[in-house]
Amino acid sequence: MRFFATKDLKVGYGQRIVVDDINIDLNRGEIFCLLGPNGCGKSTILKTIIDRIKRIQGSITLLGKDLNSLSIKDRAKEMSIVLTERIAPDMMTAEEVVATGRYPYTNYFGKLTKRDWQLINEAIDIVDGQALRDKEFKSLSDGEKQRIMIARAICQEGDIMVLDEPTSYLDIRFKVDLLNILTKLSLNKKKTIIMSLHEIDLVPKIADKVMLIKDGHIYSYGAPEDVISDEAIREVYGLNGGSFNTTIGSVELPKLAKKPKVFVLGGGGRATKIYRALNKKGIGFYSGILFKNDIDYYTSKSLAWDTVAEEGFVDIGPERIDRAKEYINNCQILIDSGVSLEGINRGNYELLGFASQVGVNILSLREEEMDFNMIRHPSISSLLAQLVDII
Amino acid sequence: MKRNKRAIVILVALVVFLILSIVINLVSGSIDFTLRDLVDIILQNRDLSTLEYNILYKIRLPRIVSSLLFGGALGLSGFLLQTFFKNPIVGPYVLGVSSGARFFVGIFILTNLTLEIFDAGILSIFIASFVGSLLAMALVLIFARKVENISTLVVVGIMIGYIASAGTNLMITFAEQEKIAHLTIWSMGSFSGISWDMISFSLIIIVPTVLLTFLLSKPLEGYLLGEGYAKSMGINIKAFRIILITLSSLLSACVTAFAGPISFVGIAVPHLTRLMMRTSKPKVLIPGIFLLGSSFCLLSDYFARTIFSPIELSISTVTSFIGAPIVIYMMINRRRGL
Repeated sequence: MRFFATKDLKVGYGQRIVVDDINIDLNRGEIFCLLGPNGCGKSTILKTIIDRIKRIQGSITLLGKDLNSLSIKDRAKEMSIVLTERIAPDMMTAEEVVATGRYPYTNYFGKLTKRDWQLINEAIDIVDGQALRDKEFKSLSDGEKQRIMIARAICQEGDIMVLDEPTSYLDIRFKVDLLNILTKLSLNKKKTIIMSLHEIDLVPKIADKVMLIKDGHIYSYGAPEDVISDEAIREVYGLNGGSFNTTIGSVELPKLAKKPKVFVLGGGGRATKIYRALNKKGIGFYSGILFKNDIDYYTSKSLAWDTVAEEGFVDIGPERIDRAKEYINNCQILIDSGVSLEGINRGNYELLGFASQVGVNILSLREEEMDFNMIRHPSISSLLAQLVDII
Repeated sequence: MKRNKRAIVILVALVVFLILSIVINLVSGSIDFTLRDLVDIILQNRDLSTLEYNILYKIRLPRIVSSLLFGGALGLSGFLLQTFFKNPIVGPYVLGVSSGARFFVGIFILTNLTLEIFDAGILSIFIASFVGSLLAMALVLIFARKVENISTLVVVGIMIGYIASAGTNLMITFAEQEKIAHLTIWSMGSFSGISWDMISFSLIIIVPTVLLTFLLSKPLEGYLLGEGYAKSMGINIKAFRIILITLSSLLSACVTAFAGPISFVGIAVPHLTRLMMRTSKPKVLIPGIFLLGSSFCLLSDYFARTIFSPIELSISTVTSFIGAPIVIYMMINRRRGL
């Protein structure tokens, strides 16, 4: 039997259906992510699961038993939550907020036992919040508040944790920490975690199952490896021109470029930052000669006017070199990212020579002196400043 | 732990403060008793003259007991509303609930053709007051659904209060001359002229309500985190909200029925108590608020009686002077805080 499942679930407000046909099935300890643009209904689904809003139709079951058949108190012991709504209780310390997680277990007057304190302490440890515990909750930063709310959810001891965009207010460090915490909770404590996330790049790294939602219907559901593709992301989020590369997990803005005047000699990951910097300034460029297994290749595909590329692990072929030379001939500037000029990269050496010969300005990030007529720069920014002057 | 200790110290201090407030009210007035007189009377070393007896038992004591009872009730009524709206700047007076109650009591007295409110049945006056409170509350709740902004809601509440007051004033204008005197005093808020019967009746309403509020300490604390979290902790939100409103209305309706609308106690007292105790734990706040509310009203009544003696001020005159600046301070601070 599935640990947690929804069957033909319809969610929405009153009679207005927001998302239809939601079928989720999770094993104990799995992490499930809802992914989709703002307003697609992620929160509505989560709110329905935690019974904040009434479901319109369908079932939500825990070990085969519908959640509706549980009393509100028993439910509190099965499921803990972290919401997006901000709370600002007056005169409450972080520790007191965490302690409210023990609510379903304490006696009539909410007396905390030794065991309660132990669990509170443990939960605060897990989110690395000992330094915060005696501070007033309201005075904490958004990220700190979020960690405290997560500690709160942890010490509520539900088998299921539901989190609505838990990473929203966190900086990169705590984002990573948080996802790490969730992974550990799922692995070590067998918590089943249901959440919505904004970070497409993080989802495949944490989730066991993903549901993509677009305009009120389920676009796809399954393991992230099967579900999340460049194409799916572009469609679900309706990306215009920009792109999301699901392999390297990176967003690129739409190409802003006009007809290119620059050729970027890239490779080995040295040129990605150059591509982005050029695109930001609206400077079009060709790029080459890249191997198709190179990280520069992926960014270049998104941003360059055209990319001259060769299959991985083979020598650069003559027809690629000819095409690159043709492009260089049409350019004012060649940017040399400092890529290796040896081995299978020998073709790049030939291109530098060609550029020098036809009088194209070469701006180079290469550290060593070369025989060609080139201007060397210590950084991308100084190189770019000169490039803008020339154009 | 440290906070708990602090709360207990404050509670003890509040009890002492309350006793002092009671004593000050006992000894001072048209006839001043000395402390020694009081001790003698309590220890029955000395019999009272009829005049002294009447002043002490028929005038001062009922006034003291009602200030004590009503002050505590108003503080808690405000506290419950603040919990309900998740905002410290509401209370029965600013939300127009007290004025709604007053309006209904006014209608009741005048249409009932009773000469003075104190001749009308105590129960019926209370019921009129309770119905008025609930109706004003219902109006506020309807608007609360439409306005997200709490400041706007407060303004709406004040407007509802003004409308109800205008209605009351209209009635007073057209009422027969001899009915007016007492109605006017009552409608501005006063602890004078409260009989022992009214006090007994108020005890029946207020004591169980306060106890019930105290028994709700745990869900009241859970509710501080907002409805979403409260529900996830196992609190039945719908029932709880209804209970909150009912308890709060019972308390403020009872006060308004017999002492008229009294301003700002409902806001200022819970806030001051929180500031003193530095906690929001209802378990300790509830007794604290009741104690401070009692002392607050006792002292306000003391000033109302004595500052311009023999002219007596309405109690709201005094509580407004103290309470309104506190509310302004809170609003400004809150802006900055958010």
